[in-house]
Amino acid sequence: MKKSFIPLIISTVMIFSGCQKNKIYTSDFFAMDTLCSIKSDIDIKETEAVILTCNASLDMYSGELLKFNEIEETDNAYIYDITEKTLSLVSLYGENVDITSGELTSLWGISSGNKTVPSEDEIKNSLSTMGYEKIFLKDGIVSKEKETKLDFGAVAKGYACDLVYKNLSEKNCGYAIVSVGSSSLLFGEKPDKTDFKIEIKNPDGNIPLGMIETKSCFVSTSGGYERFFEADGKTYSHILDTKTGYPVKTDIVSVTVLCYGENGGIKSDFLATDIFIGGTENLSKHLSSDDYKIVVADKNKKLYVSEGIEFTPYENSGYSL
Amino acid sequence: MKLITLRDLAIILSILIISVIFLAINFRDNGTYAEISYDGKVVKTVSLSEDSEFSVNDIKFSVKENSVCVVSSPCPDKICVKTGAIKRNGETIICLPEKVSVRIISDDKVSADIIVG
Ligand SMILES: [Zn+2]
Repeated sequence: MKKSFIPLIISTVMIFSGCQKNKIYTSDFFAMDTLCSIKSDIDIKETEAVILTCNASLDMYSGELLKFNEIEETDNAYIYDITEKTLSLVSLYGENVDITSGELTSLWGISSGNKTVPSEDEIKNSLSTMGYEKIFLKDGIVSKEKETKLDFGAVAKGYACDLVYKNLSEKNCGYAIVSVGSSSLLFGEKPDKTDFKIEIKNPDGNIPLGMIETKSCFVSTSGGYERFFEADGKTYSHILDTKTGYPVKTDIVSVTVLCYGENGGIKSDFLATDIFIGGTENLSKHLSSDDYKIVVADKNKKLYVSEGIEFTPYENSGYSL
Repeated sequence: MKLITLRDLAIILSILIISVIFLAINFRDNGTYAEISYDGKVVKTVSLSEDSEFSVNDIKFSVKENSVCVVSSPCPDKICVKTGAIKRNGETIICLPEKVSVRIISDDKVSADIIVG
């Protein structure tokens, strides 16, 4: 009994001494029309630069996209790449997400903070500038009709995460958590080798909906209470139905999408908006998908969760399976 | 035969002292804080264990019942005010127009790596 005492003390002491944390780099900054934050075991200056460079091309209110929206052609590599990737997602999942909706977005003042309800004529006018048949890709050139304005708001944050993923892979980064607003990348393996834990906020602002435990992945969300705005005394979703030109009417209040591997960022971002707009009537095909996983909450406080995802709902959140 | 020599005792004691120092380093700042940042740089850190009121760049904050919220802001969208009170590790309030963000920092070991939605 007494003899085993000494090694016990020593090992206990060694465990505590070993608690000294590895160096973790962190950074917060504003880009892509949102707050970005990076946490990693390697120097994050380059990661930050990746996001800022992407922002310089894709931000609707500055830089290359603003220029392109006034003309017909661009050879900007970012605009080409994100357009090409969005088009292939559209061919798989349909046109709920419409990147030609820039005119409509500006009209509603979404993301510029200026919230007014436009007139019917104005909405009709902007709808006439939209449609995937109005953009063309050829030999590194994106072309469109002059009046058509591109808006990558539904895919750019996830796309930025893809660029970060590529960069971190090249640099043999072991671990990183990168958020670009509503899209994030959980990269590599945590220092303690446990799964990543993702908590999903409650759309009503109370106890969270629950916790997802997962390996490395991309995660994007849509919905949520902060994404509504008031105008003329009414509450509107900030996500527009690009078919009607009005804020979307959906019975979904929160969507979380997990995608895995290369190009999972833009895919999760796209799907989060797509599923939100589609409503619960279009959920079944998403719930049974093998290559991405979802957690959805609807207006009736019901949760929908993909098979094969490790999700623990919290008691007392007001939402249940 | 002695079970513990003086030398053993000295070693054990010194290791104990070192470990206590590490313990102190790892567990200092025990409690929950709100970090307020302007343009990504931390400008103020506030404990949530004491009620208080303060301002950063014309944005008024209130700490009450271990949570923090934005009371008022000159921004046009008021998303920061509508976000309400936050208190869980990693939760954030963001005011995009004013470039101000608030993040909860706590030692909660079981909490999430990331909060979404
Ligand atoms: Zn604000």
